[in-house]
Amino acid sequence: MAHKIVVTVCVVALTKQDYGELDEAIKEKLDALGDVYDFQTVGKPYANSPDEWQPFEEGTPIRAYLDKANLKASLVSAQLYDPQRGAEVLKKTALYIIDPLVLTHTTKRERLAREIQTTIYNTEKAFCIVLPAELPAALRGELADVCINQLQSLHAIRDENDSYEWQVETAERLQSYLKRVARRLGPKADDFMLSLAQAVFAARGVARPDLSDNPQLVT
Amino acid sequence: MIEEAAAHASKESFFQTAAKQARRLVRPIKDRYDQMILPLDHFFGLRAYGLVVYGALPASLGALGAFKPPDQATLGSRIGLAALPYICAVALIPVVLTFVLVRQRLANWYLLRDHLFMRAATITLAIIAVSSFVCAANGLLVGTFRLVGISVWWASPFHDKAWPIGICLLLSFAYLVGSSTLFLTVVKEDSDLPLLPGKDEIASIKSLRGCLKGIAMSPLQTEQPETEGPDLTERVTQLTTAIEAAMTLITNLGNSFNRLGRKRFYEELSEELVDLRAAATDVNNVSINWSSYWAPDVDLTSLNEVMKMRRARIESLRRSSQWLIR
Repeated sequence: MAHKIVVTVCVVALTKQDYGELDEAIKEKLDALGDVYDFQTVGKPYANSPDEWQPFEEGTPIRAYLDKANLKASLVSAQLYDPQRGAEVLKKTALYIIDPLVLTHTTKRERLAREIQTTIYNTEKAFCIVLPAELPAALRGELADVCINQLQSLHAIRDENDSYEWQVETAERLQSYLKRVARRLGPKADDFMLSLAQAVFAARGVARPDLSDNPQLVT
Repeated sequence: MIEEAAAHASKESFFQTAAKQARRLVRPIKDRYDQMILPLDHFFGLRAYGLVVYGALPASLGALGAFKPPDQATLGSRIGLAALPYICAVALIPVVLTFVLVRQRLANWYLLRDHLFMRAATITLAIIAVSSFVCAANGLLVGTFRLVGISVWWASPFHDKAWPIGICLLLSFAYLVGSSTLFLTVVKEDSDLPLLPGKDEIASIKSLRGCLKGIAMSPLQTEQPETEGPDLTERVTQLTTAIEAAMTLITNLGNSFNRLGRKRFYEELSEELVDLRAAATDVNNVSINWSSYWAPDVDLTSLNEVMKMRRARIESLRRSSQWLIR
C-alpha cells in the first residue's frame, strides 16, 4: 500500500443548520430543486459537519474522496469559524475545498471572500471550487457568476498553478484533482540520490536512462 | 495412479469446501455467542468458574470423610432468633475473607475493573451455594435430613424449613477457608492449575494493564498543546510507542486466549487504540485539532463522523482505564 500523503484540509461548505441564513433568492431556487437540496436530511447534500458534505449524486462525503486519493487528511473545518482558532486554521490549511453556496450565506460569505481568499492568494495554498454538473444550468451559471464576482483574486490566478481548480463538476474530476494534489504534496526526488544514480548509469555507459526498451538482466 | 491422485485431490477439495461452508454457517452463530457471552463473563466471572469447583472441594472432601467435618453438636440445639446476629457476624468472617481473596484473583484475571465487585460476589455466592448443596447431599446420605415432596416441605413449620438450610449454610461457611490448602493456594496466588486462567495469560494481561496505564497517563490526553513542535512530537511518539506495545500484547492475547468472547473484547480494545493513535497523529500534524478529540466543551455536532467516532472511542478507553491512574 502506498504511503499516504499528510495534508491539512479545510472544507468550506454549508451545513444542515445554515439554511436559515442563506439569501432569500437562493433559498427559493434551492427549494425548487426538491429532494436534491433538503437541509433537513443528512447527505442531501449537507450534514452537521462540512466534511460530510456530499456534493455529487453518488453520495460520497468529501473526506472519503480525500482518502481515496491517497491523502491522509487532517480536517480542520470544524475550527474555521472558531474565534480563537480560526486564524490558526487559515495558517495551517494546505488545501481548501470550497462550496460556492457559502458565498450566499449571510455571515460565512465574509470569511470566504476575505480571509480565506487572501490567504490562498498570498500563500499559494491549493484550492478547488466544487460546482456539481447535476445542478440546473441556470443555478450553476448564477453560482459561477457569484464566484467570479466575490472570488476575483482566485479567479485571476486560477490557471497559474495546477493545484488550483476553478470548477470541479464531477466526482471523477474531483478525484483526479485530489490525486494531482497528492502527487504535488508527496515526497520529491532526492537530488543527491538522483545525481548519484545518474553517475552510476553514466559509468556503465548509459547517458540517458529510460524505459524505452524491455528491461534485461545483464551479468 | 494419476486418477487416484486426482480423485484424492478432488476429495480434499470437497472436504475443504465443506469445511469452509460449515465455517461460514457457524460464523454468525459464533459471533452471536461471543456477543452474548462476553457481558456474562464480565458480570458473573465465567472465566473463574474453576474457583467454584476448588471452593466447593473442602465441603466435598468433608462429605467423603477425608477429614473431620466441623462440629455440628451446637447446631443441633435450638438456637433462638436473638442469637442470629451473632451467628451471622461470626459466619460472615470466612465469607468476607473468601470474597476478598476471590476479588483479588479476579482483579488479576481481568484486564479492567468493570463489574469486579459483581463478579467476585457472584463467584463467592456460587461457592457457598455449591458447598451448601454438597452439605445438604451429605446430610441426606447420612440421614441427618430427609427428602420430602415440595407440598410437604411447604406445609411444614418455618423452623423445620429453615433449620436444614441454616445448617448447610453454616457448614459451607465453615468449610470455606482453612480446610483446603488447595483452595487457599488457588485464591492466594496465580497458579497454572486446571480450570483457571494460566500464568502466561495473566502475565500478558498485567503487561497490557501497564501499557494502558502509560497510555492513560500520557500528557497528550490531558494537556492541550500550544503548537506543533518537538515537545508535541515527543508526546505523540511516547503515546504511539505505548499503543504499539499494547497492540502487540492484544494480538497475542486475542490469538491465544480468546474464549468466552475475549477475542471480540480485544478487537474492540484494539479499535479504540487504533483510533487513539490516529487522533494523536492528527494532532501532531495540526495541534488545533486537539480540542476535537479531548476538550470537554467542544460542539460535537460540528465534528465529522470520523472525529466523532475517534472521540467516542477515546472516551470509552479513558473511562475503562481511569482507575489505573487513581
